[in-house]
Amino acid sequence: MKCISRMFLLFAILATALPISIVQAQDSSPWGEVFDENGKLRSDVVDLGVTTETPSWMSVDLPFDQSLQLDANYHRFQTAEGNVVIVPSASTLFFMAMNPQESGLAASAGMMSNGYGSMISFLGLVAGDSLDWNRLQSEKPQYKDPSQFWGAVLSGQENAWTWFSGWSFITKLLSMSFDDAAMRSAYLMYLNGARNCTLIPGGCSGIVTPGNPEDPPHPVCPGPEVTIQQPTLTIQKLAPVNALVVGQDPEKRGADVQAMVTIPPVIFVWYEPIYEEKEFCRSANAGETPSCKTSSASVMNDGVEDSELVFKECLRHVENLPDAVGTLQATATLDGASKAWITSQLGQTHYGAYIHKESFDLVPGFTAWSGGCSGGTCTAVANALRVPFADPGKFNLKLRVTTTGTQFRGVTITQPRNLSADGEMQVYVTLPALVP
Amino acid sequence: MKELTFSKRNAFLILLIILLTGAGILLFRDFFPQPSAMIPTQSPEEVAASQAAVEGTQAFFQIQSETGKDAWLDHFCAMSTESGCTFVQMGADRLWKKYASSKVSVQATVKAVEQVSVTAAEQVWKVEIILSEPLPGSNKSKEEAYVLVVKTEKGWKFDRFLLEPEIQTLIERQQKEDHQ
Repeated sequence: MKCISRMFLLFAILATALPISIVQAQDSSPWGEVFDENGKLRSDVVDLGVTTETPSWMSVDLPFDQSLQLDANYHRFQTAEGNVVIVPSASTLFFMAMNPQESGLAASAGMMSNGYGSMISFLGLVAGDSLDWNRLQSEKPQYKDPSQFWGAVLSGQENAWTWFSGWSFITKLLSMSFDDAAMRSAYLMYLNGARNCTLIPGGCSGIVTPGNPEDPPHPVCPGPEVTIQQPTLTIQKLAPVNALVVGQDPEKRGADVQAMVTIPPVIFVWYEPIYEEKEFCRSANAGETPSCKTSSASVMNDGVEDSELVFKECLRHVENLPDAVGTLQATATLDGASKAWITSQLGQTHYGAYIHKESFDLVPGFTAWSGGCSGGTCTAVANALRVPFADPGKFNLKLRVTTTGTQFRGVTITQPRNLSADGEMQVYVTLPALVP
Repeated sequence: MKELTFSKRNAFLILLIILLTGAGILLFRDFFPQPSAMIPTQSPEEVAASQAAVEGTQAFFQIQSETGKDAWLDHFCAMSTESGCTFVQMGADRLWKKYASSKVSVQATVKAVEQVSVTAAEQVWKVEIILSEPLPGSNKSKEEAYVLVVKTEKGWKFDRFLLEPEIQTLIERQQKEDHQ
């Protein structure tokens, strides 16, 4: 294994070259093909799924000349223009950084990270606890906090390995799952798509070749499918049956109003191309010792054993993604007709009748909401109890909800939604009647 | 001047006492060494950590291809940290394919040689590994390795073998400390 510290040097170079605070579309760069103006993945980007291979550069040396050959995992996307973007897993990125030439990292057209700050967070997250901060502070007092030190590491001024007093973060980094959004901060761009796919980590498999009908078709899995189910929202009066204005109620009971939201999961179906390693006998190159026969017609060994990845199937994955409630607002407002009735008709019989309080901020204000997600379904509820309605008439109840949107493996699947529901409730007043 | 006389019997008794006293002193030195010559005992933490290094290394190199990869991994993972287990699992398929095709049956004897680095949660131990026979692709049956052990909720556990750049950093740091 080559010098691991090259990873940090690489990060430094990339971070210095691309001091971008957020992922943004840029008309002058190919990244505009990938992200929209809000920094979200464009809808015309094709999700090629996760590709796995076992490259020679992702090998860990062990005692007795043994080695662990680890899998490299890339989530790959293809833009409408045919360029390919890959998102390596954390462990893959780690080894790519150690072997930039062999891994194809150096062949990428560029790296789009979520910025310098997030790279510092990345290092702090995976290696922060292993930093010998006391020794660093005594010998390098110019660093007031670890983030300054990580910044110096990223800019190539410091060698992080000199300052570690712990090493277990390596296995933690390597065992972090592909789903860990914090680790998936790097997008690597490879230009020209299938015309250059030998340089792309993961090879040509699954990559669409536009405008080349003569080429043999590549096995491509179907694109992802997103099904958004309708949520259920209600806002209603719970009690009492006939709410009386508090001015006439000795108990000042008021009324209870309940708001409820149930959001079914967003169903995200995606397909993963599965490849299997197939061994075959290929023609021996100059300098290679033949060890097998390339065909049954061969009378002597004329080839060497090799292996290739052969497309096997598309594995269908169904994800129930939670679209959680982000904000919830509920109000009660006296309607116009009721206001007119109070000030006109009621005012004629009850001199001085006026509108006491025509609107209530139920949530937030009168109460707070609570909620959560389970099995992909998200719920939220708020109970505004004993709301002191002082005016008779019809109150319009409004419920406004925004969701967080859904993400899968750090990629936005659906944008946040604005949901709403209306209801109404009646508040009564007792009026004296003259009986003839 | 008064003449002192010794009988043969008295002379023999005095000689016997001198011989027994000398032999007693020698025996006392052997069985009850002086404090300055005592080897410092290891703390319970050191004992547990070195044991984890030895057991984890032994579990890794104790390879019986007949029992299968899963049994080997189960045994190793019982001795390792969760992330150390995942680390090995990530590359176990290819490693085991080689062992299975070579029908490997190897016994490993591991001895903790030296504690190289220590923090509250991690220790690095240099261990000596002796294999009953070389593994495929190697002609060595004895080697030293640097092992990282980590303190977990279940006690000290094997995490991984240190990589060459890490070993070099540690050795340089050790040499620097020795000079000071």
